[in-house]
Amino acid sequence: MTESGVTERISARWKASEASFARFLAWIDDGRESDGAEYLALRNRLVAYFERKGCDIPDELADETLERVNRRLDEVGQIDTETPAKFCYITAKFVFLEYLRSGRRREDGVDPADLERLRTGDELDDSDRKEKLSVCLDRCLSGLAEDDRTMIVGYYVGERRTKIDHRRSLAERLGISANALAIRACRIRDKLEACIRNCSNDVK
Amino acid sequence: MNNEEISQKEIRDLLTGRLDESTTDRLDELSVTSPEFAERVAAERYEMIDDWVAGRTDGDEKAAIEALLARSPTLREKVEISRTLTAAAPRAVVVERSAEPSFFSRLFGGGMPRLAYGFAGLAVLIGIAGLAAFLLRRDGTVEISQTDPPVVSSPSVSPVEQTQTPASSPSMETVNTPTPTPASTESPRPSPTPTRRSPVEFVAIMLAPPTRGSTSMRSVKIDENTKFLNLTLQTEAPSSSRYSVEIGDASGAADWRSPVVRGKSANGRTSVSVRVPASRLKKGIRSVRLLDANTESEIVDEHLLRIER
Repeated sequence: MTESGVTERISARWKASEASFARFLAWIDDGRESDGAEYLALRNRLVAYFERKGCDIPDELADETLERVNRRLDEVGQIDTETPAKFCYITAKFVFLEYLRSGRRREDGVDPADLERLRTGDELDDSDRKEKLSVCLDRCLSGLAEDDRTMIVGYYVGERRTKIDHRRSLAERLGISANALAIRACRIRDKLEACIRNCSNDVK
Repeated sequence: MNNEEISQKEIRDLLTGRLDESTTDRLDELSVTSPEFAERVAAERYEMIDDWVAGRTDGDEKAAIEALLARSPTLREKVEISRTLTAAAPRAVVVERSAEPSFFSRLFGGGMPRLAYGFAGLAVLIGIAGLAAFLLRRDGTVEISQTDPPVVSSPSVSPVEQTQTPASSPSMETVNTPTPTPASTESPRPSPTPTRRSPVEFVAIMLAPPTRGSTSMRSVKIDENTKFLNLTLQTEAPSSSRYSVEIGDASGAADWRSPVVRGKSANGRTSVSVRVPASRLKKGIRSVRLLDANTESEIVDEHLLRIER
């Protein structure tokens, strides 16, 4: 992400003074000068944490967490902690408990039969939705760098043993472990999913 | 507890809420404090969803995943995308190949260095013209098929008399080579009067190493008179190894497997050639696997090939 992109995103969320926020970024960087990248990475990890906990507003909760930590830093000037990320995690736990107590967490109560239809694809009675996803996938795959496209398509080709063997072979060719391959595929899939999400909102 | 000490199963159990409170807390903390562990968790979540979509989960795990899905619209959206991606991957392979810019579009458009393509194109055209002239001179009957890749078919050939023309494409060429009778190579060019075409008896195909585009799927047409598919797999693995070639479906079931063969080294690559009886080639998308014969089942390379009949 560019410097302006980072600044733009952060400032859109943040209400504290520029000096306060700059000090907060430096504290999170923990001496590394990441230019905001460490803040965004930490925020993403907090979002994933809240998502995993079944929160339906994970972005808001991650921002709430970071805002509280920033405020605390402003108040006390210095926070004694093993690492800034650890302090953020401790704060996130409190935010999560408060969220649970607030009763904002809702259970959709999806019927098991609906889940089976979701699994098989039969839930998409609206064939337009299927078509839209398919169009968006093609479009988003085309937008990937060639190496990424080749890798993600290769990663999902095949079934069962073939898929396993194929991935092992892919990892060997790239000279990386199976874990590293999965993580690389995950990064590409993150991009792909974000693209498909945006695309399916745009495609009429 | 650090990232390396945590097993894939523990991560899966974390995701499905099947760990005790203390372990959950430790792993949750690590997922926020360690970027590496956070990535492993994210990757495992995709695997979990893919497994559920593919019906590879059961019992407690399946129930736990479905409980998560029931309350998470985000996860349900991921399921949709997983299903679309899994279903589309083989198709994407085809699309990717067919969407490659044509020679002419590369020459006249796009952001590529046009002059370089111009020279490359000229060289290819000269090569094709030379090949065509060579074949015409030898036989007088050249037919270019409309299939992709280009197929040069010929009058009847004997499998033992085949000669394989070097592929002009780095990925693959299919060449049905005309084989004249010994006398005809020295005789004057045949008269231009129409001759009855005999059926093609074999098709030759060459597949380049996967790293050079094996996710592209190519086709080969097997007609009722074709007796063999002469298959050459190029690989970057060493020529000293012993290989076998297996053709089968995506699940790993084999339609046919070759005897053990040795690779031949040329131009920095190893080629492994086998002859597949046409009767063993099933219609549709097949997986062509180059196996390391020393380890019996180690897949060295894998290609997708569409068999048309």
